[in-house]
Amino acid sequence: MKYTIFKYDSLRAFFLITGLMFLLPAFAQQNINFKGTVVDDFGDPLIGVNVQVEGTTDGTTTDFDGNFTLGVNSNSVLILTYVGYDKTEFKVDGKKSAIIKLKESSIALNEVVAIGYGSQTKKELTGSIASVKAEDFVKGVVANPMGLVQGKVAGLNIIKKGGGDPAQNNYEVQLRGVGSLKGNSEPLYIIDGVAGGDLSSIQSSEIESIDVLKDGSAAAIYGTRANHGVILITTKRGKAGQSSIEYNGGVSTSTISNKLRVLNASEYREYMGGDLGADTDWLDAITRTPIKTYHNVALSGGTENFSYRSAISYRYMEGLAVKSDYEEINARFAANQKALNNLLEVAYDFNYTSSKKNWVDYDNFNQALQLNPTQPIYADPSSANYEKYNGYYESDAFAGHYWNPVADIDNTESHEKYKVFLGSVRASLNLTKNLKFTSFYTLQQQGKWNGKYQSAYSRRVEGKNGVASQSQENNQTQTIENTLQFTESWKNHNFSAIIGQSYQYNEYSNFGANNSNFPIDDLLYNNLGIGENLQTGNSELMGMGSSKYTDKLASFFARVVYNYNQKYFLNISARMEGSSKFGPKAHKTLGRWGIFPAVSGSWRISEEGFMQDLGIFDDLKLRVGYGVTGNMPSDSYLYLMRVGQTGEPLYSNGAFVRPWGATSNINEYIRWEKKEEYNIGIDFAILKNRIRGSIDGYVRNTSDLLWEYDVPVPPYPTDKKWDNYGKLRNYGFEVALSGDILRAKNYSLSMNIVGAFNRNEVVKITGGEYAENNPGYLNVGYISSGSGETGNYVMRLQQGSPIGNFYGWKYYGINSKGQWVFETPDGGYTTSPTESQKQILGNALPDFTYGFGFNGSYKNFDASVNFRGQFGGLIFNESRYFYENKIDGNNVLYSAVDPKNDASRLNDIRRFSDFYLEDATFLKCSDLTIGYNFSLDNKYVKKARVFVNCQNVFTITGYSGVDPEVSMNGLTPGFDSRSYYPAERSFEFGASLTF
Amino acid sequence: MKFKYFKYTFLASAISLGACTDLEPEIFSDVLKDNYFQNEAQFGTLVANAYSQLLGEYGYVYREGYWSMQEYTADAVIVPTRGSDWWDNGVPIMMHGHTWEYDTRDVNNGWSFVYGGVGKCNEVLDNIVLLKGDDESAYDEGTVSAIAETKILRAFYHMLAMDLYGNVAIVRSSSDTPRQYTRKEVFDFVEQEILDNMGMLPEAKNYGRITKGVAHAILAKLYINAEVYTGTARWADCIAQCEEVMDPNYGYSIDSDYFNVFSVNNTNNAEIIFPIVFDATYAKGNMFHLMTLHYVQQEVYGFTTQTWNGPCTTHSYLDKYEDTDLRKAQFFHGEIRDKSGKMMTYTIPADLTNGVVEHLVDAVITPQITSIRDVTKSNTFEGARFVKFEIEEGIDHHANNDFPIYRLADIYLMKAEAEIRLYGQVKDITYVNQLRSRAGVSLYNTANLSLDEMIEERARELAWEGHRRQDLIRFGMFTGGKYLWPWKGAKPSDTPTDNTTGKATSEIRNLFPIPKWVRDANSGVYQQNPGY
Repeated sequence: MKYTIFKYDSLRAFFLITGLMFLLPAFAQQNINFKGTVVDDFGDPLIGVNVQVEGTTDGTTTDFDGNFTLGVNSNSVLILTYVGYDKTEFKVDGKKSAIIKLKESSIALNEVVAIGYGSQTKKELTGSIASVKAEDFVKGVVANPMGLVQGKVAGLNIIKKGGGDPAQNNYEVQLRGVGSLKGNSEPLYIIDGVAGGDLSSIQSSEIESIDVLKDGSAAAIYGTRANHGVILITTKRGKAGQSSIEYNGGVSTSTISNKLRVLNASEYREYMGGDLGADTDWLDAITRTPIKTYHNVALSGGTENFSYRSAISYRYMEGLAVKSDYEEINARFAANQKALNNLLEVAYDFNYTSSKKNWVDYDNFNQALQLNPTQPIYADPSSANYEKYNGYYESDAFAGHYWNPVADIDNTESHEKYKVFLGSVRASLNLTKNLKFTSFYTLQQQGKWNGKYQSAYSRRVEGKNGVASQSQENNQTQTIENTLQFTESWKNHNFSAIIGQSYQYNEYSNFGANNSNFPIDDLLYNNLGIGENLQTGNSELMGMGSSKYTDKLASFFARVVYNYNQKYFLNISARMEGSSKFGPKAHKTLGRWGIFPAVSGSWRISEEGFMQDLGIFDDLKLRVGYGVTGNMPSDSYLYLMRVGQTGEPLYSNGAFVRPWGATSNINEYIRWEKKEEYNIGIDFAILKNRIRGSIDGYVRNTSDLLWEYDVPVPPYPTDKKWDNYGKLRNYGFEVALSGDILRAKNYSLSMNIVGAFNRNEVVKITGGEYAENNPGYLNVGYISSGSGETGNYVMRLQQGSPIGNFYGWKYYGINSKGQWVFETPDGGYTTSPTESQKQILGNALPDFTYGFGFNGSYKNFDASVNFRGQFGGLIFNESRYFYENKIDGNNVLYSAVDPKNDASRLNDIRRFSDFYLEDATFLKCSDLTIGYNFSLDNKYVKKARVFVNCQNVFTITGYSGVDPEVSMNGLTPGFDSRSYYPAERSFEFGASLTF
Repeated sequence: MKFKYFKYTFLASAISLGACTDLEPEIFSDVLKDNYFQNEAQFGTLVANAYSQLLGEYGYVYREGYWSMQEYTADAVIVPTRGSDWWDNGVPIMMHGHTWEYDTRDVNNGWSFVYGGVGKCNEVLDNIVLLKGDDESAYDEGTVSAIAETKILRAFYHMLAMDLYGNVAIVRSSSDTPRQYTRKEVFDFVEQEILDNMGMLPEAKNYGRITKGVAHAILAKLYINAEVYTGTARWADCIAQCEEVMDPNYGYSIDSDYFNVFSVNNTNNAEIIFPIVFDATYAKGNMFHLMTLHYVQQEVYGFTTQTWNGPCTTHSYLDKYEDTDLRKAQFFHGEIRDKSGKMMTYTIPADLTNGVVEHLVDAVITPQITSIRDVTKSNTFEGARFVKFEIEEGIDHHANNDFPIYRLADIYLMKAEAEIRLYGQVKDITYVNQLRSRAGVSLYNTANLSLDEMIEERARELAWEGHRRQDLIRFGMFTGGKYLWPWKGAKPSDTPTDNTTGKATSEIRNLFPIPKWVRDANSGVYQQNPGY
């Protein structure tokens, strides 16, 4: 009997004890306040590491010392994630504190890259996408964010427009060769998701990274605006738990980096004769030593649910030319907010820039080249025209082509004010773990105002007694975008998809008025109505005008991204887009709409067993992609029959009657230019990811090129018609390499190199109905033969040839009579060449472009240097064409009189030949920076750094002109104009502090 | 829960989707054809198109087009290259020296001008049908006369084309494919068009538009050159047409002051039959003052833009005038003085290679031209300048003076010439003598007004008005060695100071070549003129 009870009791006891044992941990599961410190391989604290308690939503981030505190249970597992480091799990195991070491992961692979409507890690990319992070940007002051990646992306050629002019803050940006003949040739800029964002609305120091979607498969998701590549700019945002105030500032000055050697006064007297008595260095007279300064302050901080970043900056830049300057103030506020228990996320971004510019006419630099150096700047008070020109000396040569540049700069006020506001609000609803709906609204408003006044003393408007004008332009773009994203993984299949809709409305308007004959100069352009010439009604002396147009862009897009085991990746996307700029018959069935599909895939060969056995590659990936993108026409109404004033008025019954008629030919088929691109690439990393690189090869076929054709009148009402007819082809390859050469606790050195080769061919520009009036070639690149003389075309665009072929006579020599001797195509020689004896002289475009840079640090010092350059290419040295010839009697280059130079024997009119074409190979050191980071140990200042920076350090080239980096875009690459704003070499001292 | 959100999201997307596919264009500052030509005033602007080809810088008086083809090519106009100004790739020298080619700029522009005009006329006719309907019998009087006017203007453009290029196209409508016709066929077309439509034109003079009087004048000009155009002379018909024009009902009369016909406010001048009505503000294109005056003269006249110092006249042309001839004043030479009477000066730049040092010279225009191309600019003041059109102070690029295509003086001279050719002498010499007495020179009698004298008088009376080439061809003096002028026969590559008396040029030069671009664009249609 006792037995049986005991047995029951044992069983109960067993359960009791076991139960208690289970309960025990519950008692033991009190909340521990766990204190942890997260460090890296070297033992240095890591800031901002994400620490999450597994299975809960509890989490925090590490502070500036790498410390964190979290309430956990003794058997909690902490998940630590941090960009660039392996995801680490840490078992609390009852501990109260610990130091947790994170291992640096293959940085490159886990780097996050923006790909348009989302982001992927480098590992997952299937298209050709280049990513440049803030630490690799070009250092020093740049005109706009594109300057930060000059020479950093293979195949992306960036050239500053306007030389050293601070008011000209645009770059010419060209990706993978010339992509369009007459259409738009700018890439699409996406700023934090806003397509078509204005680059002047953001500060360079606020940019986190710039990603370039290079090939068709990556860019196709942007449809009709993506032919020239898509550049995604991501700005810095606030991070939870990290409050900081950052200050950056600097001051710099610059000098003219290179001058052309013209004759000085005594040389002019000797070689040219004639003496007006003075000794003038014209270039010196119109330039000065400028000073530039900038300051910006950024605040960021926040909590889990609300984080923000805001920044204010101020910039003032004087230019080399007297009076030329640029002043800008920019403010930014960006915030992220979570609500509804992380169901709703809202992000806002507001950017505002207001700037003022003082423009100087570049033609004054041409005057500085050609004016007589013995001509005085100021006139003698007793001379006849002293009062007339306000004390300046003006020669009596033709006023349209010769004037005193010092006087012109003094007599002209050319001002511009520019404001841009870019704001966006994005709301995301996390419907489920896998499904997210986002709605995005953006507004961009740009306003430009120009005012110009040329005083009564100005020779250029002599007789008009003062000319004033004001004009304004406004552009407003609104976009609304809705997307639905879905992600799911099961087993080794990872799948994500996005479908979306977008609608953009663009409104542009402008207004301008001008008048002349002002009673006093002091009013400048502020009182237009007071000019006497308003009464004349003569459009040569006064006038006004305005215009307005709008366009709409609607699209639907979808993308599916799939990978199997992070080894095989597939990316398919399609965008269906329509615009009010396309004619109603643009597409056979879809009318105003087009479809832009893309497919790309990649294979991480390095994950395969056989590759891992080989042990060479840490990463080896093969990418293949195909995509279709488009390019918009610029005119909004090419398919509508417009009428307007078509000629001078008829006098009838005592009054003038203006004729009205068709002003444009309609084309109901007008549509986008279409580019199909095939891309194949290999990404690799070796030596434990110390060396990483990629090689890409591509073929791009652009068809339906927009061109304005000559058409016969009759039957057409007017003689020009826009149509999509031509074809253009580009192919090439790109190489990019980056390497950590040295990496240790106290020092590091890394390097990156990019190089690109590109060839283009104009496959077709005419044919069919246009063949009769438009031959298979076009003469482009018009250049006058002297001051206002009828001139010539120096380039020929020909079917079957690349863009940029120079076309003219082939130089042989200069004979004893000083005449040009040219070689004729049939092997003879002539001194009086005819049009038919011209031939192709060479191509302006380079064979190979490259860039490379080094980034290093030693203890507290850091240094970086960047280079870029090209091999091959030809430049037409316009200054030599005009000023290496004594025919006009103006000032000339020294090479026109230097006995070592053939041109000194010249006694002939100006003729264009390859005598004026020079090789464009160069190597330029674009910037050099040395900085010092103070080791700080106080509660207030977290980081402090000072640096010196030099931009445009030196250039090695055989080119005899000022700067071999000339425009490479459009129909006429390779022109080095004689009216150029000098390029500058600048020296900067700056500091940055973080509190 | 999940599903509910899904549903709302989709609904929201659907609503926004509907609105967000609108791609209709919005027009704000452009005018669409459908919105215009709605009323009579707007209809009037349509007809104006037919005339607009004559106006503008690139119209009838274009120095690189029609006018250059009729005037640069003879002795009245010469454009020396001064330094590097006006070299223009040698084109002005080629035109003056009869060494042009089939792709010379001016030859190209001339064709665009005449056929552009034809095209505009055809477009006007097409648009009239579009606006007023197909039923011609329902047209009102205004429309009927507008159509007649446009057709005669179209015939006029064809006449100019045939005069310049010979065997050209007749384009009767916008849908015509070009076909080459013989000069005679074009002549017949022009004659027929004018005769057919003349009846529907208004009788009364309407200065600036084609009325009956103007149509008769065009016919007179057609007939006087008939022998050149067709081989058959039509002197009697020419005389008849001239007499029609001279009918006092039309109201044309000779102005007692020669220069009044060319004054700034010469609009509605009674002597002008077919004008191009220019206006500095409203109807631009008269730029003679810019073309011919020297740089320093900008200040003298207070122009608001710089003058160009280009075309001038040869000394041999200037010598045609007796010193007492009032018309000689239409060419200015001598000292240039400013408003206060002070002598103006100009700096000739240095050119050591050619032995010229920089020096200041007095501004004196000299008739003798020493070099057709002087790289040193020493010839800057050479050549008498054209001041027939009264020069208005303070203007900009464009002047107000109307340009007479046909005027009564020309009619008188043509009638006299036709009479000499037909009858051996002038029937009523009082008409031509009106011109002589106005000019302050001796009167003619039937004995001393011979054909040789006729051509000289035409030169004196109608200088620079676009008739010189036609007149010289008719008298057999344009090409060949019978009549020479300085640099006749010159090539741009010649030594600039050679050939100051001129030399014979080939007969082929009586016609311009059909431009290369025209023949290329219409392959097989146009046979080139002989010699080119």
